[in-house]
Amino acid sequence: MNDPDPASSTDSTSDNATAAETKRRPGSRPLLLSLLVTAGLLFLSRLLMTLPVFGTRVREIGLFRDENLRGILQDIPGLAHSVSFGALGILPYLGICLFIQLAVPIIPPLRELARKGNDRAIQIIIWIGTGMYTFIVARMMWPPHMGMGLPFDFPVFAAVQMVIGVFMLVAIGHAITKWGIGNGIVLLLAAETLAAVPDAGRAFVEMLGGLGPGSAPNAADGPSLFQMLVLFPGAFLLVVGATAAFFSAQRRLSVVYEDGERASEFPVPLWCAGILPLVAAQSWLMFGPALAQFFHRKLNLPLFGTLREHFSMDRPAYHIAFMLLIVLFCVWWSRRLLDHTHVARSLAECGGRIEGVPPGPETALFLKRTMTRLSLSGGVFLMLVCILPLVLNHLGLPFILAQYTGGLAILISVAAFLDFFKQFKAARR
Amino acid sequence: METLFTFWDIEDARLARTLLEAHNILVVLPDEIMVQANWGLIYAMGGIRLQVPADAAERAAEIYDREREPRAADFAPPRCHVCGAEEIEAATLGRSWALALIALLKIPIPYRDGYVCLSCKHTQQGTEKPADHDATASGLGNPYDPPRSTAEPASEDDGSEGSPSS
Repeated sequence: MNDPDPASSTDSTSDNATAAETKRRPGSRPLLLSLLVTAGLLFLSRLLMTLPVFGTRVREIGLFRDENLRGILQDIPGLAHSVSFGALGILPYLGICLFIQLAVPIIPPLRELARKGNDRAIQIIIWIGTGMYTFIVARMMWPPHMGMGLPFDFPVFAAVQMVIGVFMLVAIGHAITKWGIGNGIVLLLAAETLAAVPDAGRAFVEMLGGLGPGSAPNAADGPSLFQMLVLFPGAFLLVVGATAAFFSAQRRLSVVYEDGERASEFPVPLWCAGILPLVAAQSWLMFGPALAQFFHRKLNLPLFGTLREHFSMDRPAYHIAFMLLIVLFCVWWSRRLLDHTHVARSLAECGGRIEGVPPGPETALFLKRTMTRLSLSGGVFLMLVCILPLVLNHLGLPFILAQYTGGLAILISVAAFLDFFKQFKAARR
Repeated sequence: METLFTFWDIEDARLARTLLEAHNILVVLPDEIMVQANWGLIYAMGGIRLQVPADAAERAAEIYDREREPRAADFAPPRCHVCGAEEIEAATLGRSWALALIALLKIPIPYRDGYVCLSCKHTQQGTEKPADHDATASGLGNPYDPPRSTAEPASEDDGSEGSPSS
């Protein structure tokens, strides 16, 4: 995608699908004003999450929550537990964006749009897709008998409101990016993830209260004071700190330029695969046993039955396979996400080369090897973060608390806050 | 800080930062870690922003435009092995499908490094070791092979890593 402003674009960028887009902005805003705008818009987004869909009565909403929506809503972390304008959050938008991101290099018309820099057309496609997808999901949430006797189709009316809610949330996210501090979409995602924190705090206080003098009837089964006040906070802080360190850790390769006067560094991150290996490992371990069960039924082979039994979630084989898959996918993903040939070529095009490595194919090979070695340590770290809640649970910490010492939510939240503070620091300069 | 560019690929953003930092321009990529954490958020986030101090923005844009001009001396003119056309582009064959399958169905498939001829659409797997390129049937070698006159002396396989600083 290239520059909408011809004055600041170049021929070299317009021919490249991944080329830069110049977006010059007016002068910087005061930091305090940006922070206030960010806080205000985040508050507005949370308000949308609680504002009930127009036309529903309290009794009906309660009925839905009990009978129809519970299964859908409660499985999605961070989603508002009520039928509100913003009940679906920004998840439909994220889903469509991911689909388009994956489709652009594969589907020729989209690839051509991206190559020509027509990002406005791609944005329109994303918005239309988000609207349609949200409408379908929202329409399916409302049973046909809702609003019977009304002169219009109430489920459609409610679904349209929820589409507007998603659009408003996404617009708020982009407004934060433009006028506030940090990336608005990421902050909204983090806010949805952190919406579960009050529940965790309440559970923590209740458990702590149960340990007080004169009130510990189940002390033998429940957590000890050590687990509550030392183990849980210690593990939580350790994971947050280690996650921040691993996200920021990079091997900085010295780059020298042909004039011999300039030098710079190209960073190769220690953990560039992010959370994707975790998602992939979880999917495989859900898919594998289901497949084994299918073959066990169809072919009646005892081998598949044994496999299914050993890979159920409470068995050691499941956890060992989970850990190994995380490391494996981490290395695999890292090698694929860094297009080493492209990096080597781009460095050479700018007249640069990695110090001590000949430019061209040997640079590509060097980058590939470096990435593989670094990603191995990233994979081991991700494995430890994912397995820690289970270990703590095994040591006696209730799972409702142990789950906050690892997993996707904490990784996403830490990444969001690292970027937020990076931009905060930059804005103070 | 002022947003100067928006990138759709984290590698391009990092390369641009490397280039601008070589000219002593302070560069911040405020979305870098989140994209690193979840690659699938790039489009939703509106791209990866590259920010520079407002007073250095003009100079940074000018340097970026100037330095991104391809240098013929660094690589031999790339040619297709089949039709000999020079209009070819680097490609990681099957990379898009691999990424799509892993993200949507969580099924990893292998892919190869290579190039695509824009003229005859021929796809050719490219090996990375210069020593292997001479064995190609057409004799044209790998499209990214350094020109013979300026190429570094062929080194041992492991010797190519040199001694870059950490």
